[in-house]
Amino acid sequence: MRIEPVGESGCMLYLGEQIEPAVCARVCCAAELIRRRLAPYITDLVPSYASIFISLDLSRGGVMAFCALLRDALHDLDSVASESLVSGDVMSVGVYYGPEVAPDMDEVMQLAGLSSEEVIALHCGQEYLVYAIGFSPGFCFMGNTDARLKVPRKASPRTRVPAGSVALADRQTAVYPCVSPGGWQIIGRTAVDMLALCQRSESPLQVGSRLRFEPVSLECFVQAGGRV
Amino acid sequence: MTFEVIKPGFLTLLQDYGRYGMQHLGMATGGPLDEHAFLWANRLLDNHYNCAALEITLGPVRLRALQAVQIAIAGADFAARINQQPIEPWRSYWIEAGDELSFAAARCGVRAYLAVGGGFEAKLQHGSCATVMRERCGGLQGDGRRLEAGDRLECRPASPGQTQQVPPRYVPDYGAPLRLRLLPSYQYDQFDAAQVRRFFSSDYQVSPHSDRMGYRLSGPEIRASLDGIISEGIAYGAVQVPGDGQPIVLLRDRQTIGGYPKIGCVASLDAAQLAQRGPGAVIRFTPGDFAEVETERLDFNRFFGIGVSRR
Repeated sequence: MRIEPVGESGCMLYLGEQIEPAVCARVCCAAELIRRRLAPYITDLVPSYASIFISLDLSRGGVMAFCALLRDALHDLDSVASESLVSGDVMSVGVYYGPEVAPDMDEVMQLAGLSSEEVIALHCGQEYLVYAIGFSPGFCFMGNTDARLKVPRKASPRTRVPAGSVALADRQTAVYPCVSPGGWQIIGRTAVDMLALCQRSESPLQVGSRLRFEPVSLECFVQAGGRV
Repeated sequence: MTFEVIKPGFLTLLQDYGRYGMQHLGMATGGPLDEHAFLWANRLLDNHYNCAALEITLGPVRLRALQAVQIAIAGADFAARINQQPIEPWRSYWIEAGDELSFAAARCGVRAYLAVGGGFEAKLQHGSCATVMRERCGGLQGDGRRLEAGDRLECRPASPGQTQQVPPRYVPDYGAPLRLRLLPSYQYDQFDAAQVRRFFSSDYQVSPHSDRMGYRLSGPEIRASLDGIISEGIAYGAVQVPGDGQPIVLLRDRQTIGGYPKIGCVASLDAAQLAQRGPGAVIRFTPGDFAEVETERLDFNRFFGIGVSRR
């Protein structure tokens, strides 16, 4: 564990060097402990793959003093961290993989040397962990995808990716919650409003949540509010 | 109703002190790019520090008062007038129903703040009306849009006070050379001695591609020994160095996480001064002392009463 002030009103807590479930568990657990034990001192907590950025309410004192408090508050992190991540349901997100909403499916098939059926089966064939949320509101970085689905980002990012687009990049997958520019490879679309889910209290979508994708027909997609 | 917008200017945004507690969902805080000027505008009216004000970028704006109200302006000098009468920034004024308040072109600085007694009224989203256009969040209608002609601005009731003026020693000169104190942090150690020397000894120019997300600077390239890092949370004032070696100082509307190396963070009060520099302005970085910057910041927060109770 490494605690370092960054700027005069925040600090970084580093909890690992790799993108892997065990590090994600430590991140979730540390975030929970900080929220429980140090809430009055913080204005924002940004957990990511292997670290947490903590932004401070300076009416309680400065960052130097906070770093010492943080070290104390996390003294039992390792004994608690091993228990986390097992709890919580796996959320299921329906995806329509039809060609009209999957502009990059052909490119992915070519890059991966797979048929569209195989791409879909691999994408839906496992659980994903939410490692980080950011880039834009509600954008969840999920991984790791099957090694056979590892594809680079597009050489030239799109200026406008439709909301709900389901995409791949490296060994990660994500849903674009809102219309935005983006360079990931788009292979389908969901009707699920990821941002609204994120913003719910007791949200089923936060760093450390588990999720899987499920192929749905055009009818189901449209019925759920999806638009092609 | 306090004001009707006749001419909205290039970019006029409603901002309170910012939206806190939502960055874990990827939402930016928003808030005033120059908090020094914003906070003084509210203080001149004895407003709470979090009262919503207008951030006017580069003028030219015209507003018609629909009722008598006390106003304060601070920050950039846009040759403001009440009717035909020139007025100075860093002061509060009384304005009567039917008066026209106008801001012309920028004479000095880039952003002016207009506050009203009691603060502007707007629907809160996640506890704030700070406008983040990219996220379509905040502002008058809650959809993140800038002010438009025909918009009507309401203010909260306030008891009238004396007109006040900011003591001259607190009024910055936005035309003066700016040195940004950098607090080494994040991936500082990934920049070797030669890169660090170049960074601290070179002039950088504010690029025209600067905005509320970040100020892009152009000057001698500096390189980290890493291309990228595992994406991590980004502090206000963080100095990101992407592959082209041109630093970007990240501000209120910054992305919450990112994977480019960062050489450290600019002292937040220096970042506020940076936000008053326009394209072409020359700045320099200088190594900052953590303890000194922290003390200064804590004093500043105490002075303006910035704290947990936000309304």
